[in-house]
Amino acid sequence: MTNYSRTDSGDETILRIEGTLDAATAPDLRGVVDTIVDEGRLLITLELSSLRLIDSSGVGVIVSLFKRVRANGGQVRIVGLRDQPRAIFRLLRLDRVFPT
Amino acid sequence: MVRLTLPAQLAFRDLAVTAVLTAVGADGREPPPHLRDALISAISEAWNNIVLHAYRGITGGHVDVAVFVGTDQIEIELADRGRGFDPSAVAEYTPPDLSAPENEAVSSLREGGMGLFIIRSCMDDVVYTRGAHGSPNVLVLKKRHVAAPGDHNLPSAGYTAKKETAQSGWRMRSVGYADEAAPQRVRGGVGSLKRK
Repeated sequence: MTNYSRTDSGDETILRIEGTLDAATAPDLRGVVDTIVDEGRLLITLELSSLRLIDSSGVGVIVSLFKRVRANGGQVRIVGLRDQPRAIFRLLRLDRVFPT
Repeated sequence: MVRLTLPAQLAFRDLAVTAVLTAVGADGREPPPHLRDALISAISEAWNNIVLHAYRGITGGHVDVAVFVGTDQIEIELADRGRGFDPSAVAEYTPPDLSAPENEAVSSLREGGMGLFIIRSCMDDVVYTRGAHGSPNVLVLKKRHVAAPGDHNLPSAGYTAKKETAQSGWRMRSVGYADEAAPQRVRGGVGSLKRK
């Protein structure tokens, strides 16, 4: 199960993702990502300290957000990555791509 | 040994993972974080592949899960009767090229196709045998059980590959390499595929 909470503070959007981001829940996040991109938000912070588990489907949605916001001239930052999600990002070498 | 049969649905993935972790920890010792993370990651990807690809468009399928815990190795077997696949036809995950200009590195980021890479990188040996003549597709995942208390890192990706041929089916054998973040340890990396 995944919970999302979005907070807009000035130009910055903070998206907190909690729980499990996997093949079952990633489609829901994709809708949230679409909305953020469509609204032209350019400063995105993903707060992942309460993310317990991520799989390749979940990573794919985050990469999609990153690429689309970057294409619009914006930036996506990740904070709070830990445990299994952190290990997956390291394994895929995404920890060196995403500003943290 | 632990055996169970579960419906081939995403909702049962956590149960499969729990069964494996319970079997591994049945001797009263919690698996160390790095082992736990590796097992969770690999089994999750394998389960997704079975549910979303092998059983795509097929309802009522099941997955037979078997877990063998030895003194120095864990072996997990996932068997399904869905469509088999050809691992060599799956595009290899390419990690971001950090030496490329930033925009090129970003545009080359993959949004999918990471599952097999994760499985291979987290396990020490992976063998896939495609079912034929009524036999199931069988994925065997092996992990050496080496305690490393306090280590929370999966093996970082190694990019040298070694080909090995399984006695049957496909072998996706990881290879040792020196991890940049922890040069004192040799860890498993990504392997390649070769069909016999």
